[in-house]
Formats: sequence, C-alpha cells, structure tokens
Amino acid sequence: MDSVLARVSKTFHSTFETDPQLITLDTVPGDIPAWDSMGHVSLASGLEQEFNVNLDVDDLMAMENVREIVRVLNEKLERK
Amino acid sequence: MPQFSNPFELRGTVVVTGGTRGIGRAISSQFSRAGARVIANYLRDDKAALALKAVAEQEGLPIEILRADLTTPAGQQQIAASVIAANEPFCGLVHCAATGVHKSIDSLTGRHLDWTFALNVRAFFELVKLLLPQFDRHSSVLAISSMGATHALPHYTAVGASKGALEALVRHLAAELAPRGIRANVLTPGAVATDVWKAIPDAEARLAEAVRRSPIGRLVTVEEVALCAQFLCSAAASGINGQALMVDGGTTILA
Repeated sequence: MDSVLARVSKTFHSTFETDPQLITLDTVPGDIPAWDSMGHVSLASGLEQEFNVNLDVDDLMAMENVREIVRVLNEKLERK
Repeated sequence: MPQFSNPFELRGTVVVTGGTRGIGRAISSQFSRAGARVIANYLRDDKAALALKAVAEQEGLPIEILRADLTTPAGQQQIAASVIAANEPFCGLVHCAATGVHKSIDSLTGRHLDWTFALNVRAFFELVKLLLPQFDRHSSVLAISSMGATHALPHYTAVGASKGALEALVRHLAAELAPRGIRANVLTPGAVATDVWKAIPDAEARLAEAVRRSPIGRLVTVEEVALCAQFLCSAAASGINGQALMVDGGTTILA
C-alpha cells in the first residue's frame, strides 16, 4: 500500500497537476502557485476522497504544509 | 467630517485581507497611492506577497505585508496588533480574502460549506468585532462579493451562499455601525481575469462567455475594481451606506 505521503502527493497532482516527485514533507504553499485559499479547500476535498476521512475547519487550519497534512491524516487514519 | 482637498483621497491605515494577489493586490496598490497606509494581509503565497512588497519599496508606497490566518483567533489578533502598531487613525477594512469549494449539489457537503463560510463570512465578522474599538470616526468597511451572491452560477453553491451571507451581514453592520461613524458597503466585481479562475471548472469557456455577454465587450480589470473600492471608502461616498456596487460592465442588466 502506498505511504500517506505518496497518496498526498497523488492528491496534489490531481488537484494542482503538480509533479508527484516535487511533493515532500518540506513542501509549503509558497512552492505551489495554485495552493492559495481556494486551492487549499480544493486540496482538502481531494484528500477527503483519497483517504475517506472527514476534515473539519480546524483540520484545514492545521494543514499549513505537507508535513502537517501528513500528520493530520495519520491521526485521522489511526482513529478509524 | 475631515476636510479633503480631494474628496477621493484616502487617509490613515487600511487593512486589505487577501491584499497581495488579484483584486486585493490592486486595491492595496490603489489605496496606498490614494494616501492610505495599507496592511496587505495574506496567508499562503509568500512569493506574491514579497513581490508586492518589492514593488511598494521601489515606488515608495506605504504597504506593509502581513501573513496571518484570518480564520484563527491568533491570526485575527495579529491583524489587530498591526493596526495598533501603525499608530495612525484606522480608517478602513477591505475584505478580499475568499475561498470556496466548487462542486455541484451532489458532491457538496456541510463541511464544504463550513470551510467556505469560515473565511468568507465568519473571519470577516470576527475581524470587524475585534477591530471595532480601533475604527476612526470616519471610516469604512468594504466587503468584496460576487455575482454568485444574487445569481446562480455553475458549481458555485457554497461560495454564492457565503457571499449572500456576507452581503446581508454588511447591510446589518451598515445600520448598526453608522452611528459610530463607520460605513459598510459591498463591492461586487463581475468576471475579472485573475488567478482565482484556476480553481473554477471550465474557466476558459466561462471567461470567453463573460466577454461575449458583456455590453462593454471585455472583462472588467482589477484596476477598475480597485478604483471603485477607493471611491466607496473615500469621503466622496460619505452618503453611501449599506449598498452593493456592481462593477461588471453592465452584464447583469441583460435579460
């Protein structure tokens, strides 16, 4: 099974058409021009679908960068 | 009422949320040229913010960029702290920051509405409340809305609903805050070619259609929107309160 980071990278690709190789734990919004406030909710919607989890407003606030996205998703997956 | 040699000039400090890209950036630039000291808030795009800062420094424009998450109390407090630190009359809040999920009703969930309303409506409400003690006696609140507040657009249910709520909130604020010398209005741009369209399905086709339908035969520019924003926040508009000004080249008057 793909790692969480790999699946996050896949979601970045489907949302922003980014090269999956470019998404690392150190990736931040400034690295991806389309990752603005509008892009952030589109990404969140894609992550919900990919991981079959529910993300609330607090989760979106916490997901400031890829490292935090992976952390939030790991917590959600552990609780399932 | 302060006397102005030019009734369209601005003064004091103005906060522009979402003020480093697109319409917000144009407003930040125009307001600083009109005499305001601008605090241009952003959250994610450091490059765009730094680019605006560089232009401001080059042209000697009083624009401060401020990274803050408006949906959090900490981010709202950062904005308030910056206003206080400016040590000038606080004369305006322009809410350009916006987000939204563009999906049909079949794919839309309550959480999508929560995400959209958190920035588009709730953050604005919290900021107004937090900044109330700071507003100067002759100041303005301006919310940037969209046609989706009053018209049904494809995949726009969540954003349109939030903009409708935003407009209703501004009308009520206009009535409640007028006795304190604070006017509140809405500015509704029509289709404007900015990066926001990257997130909207069928953007190219919809922009082409917007051009075709526009009586002026083109899209409205960010500069035109910014000039209208300046007017609404200036002394020249001191009799305008609780209104929504549409800047769309006349598109919405067509049957």
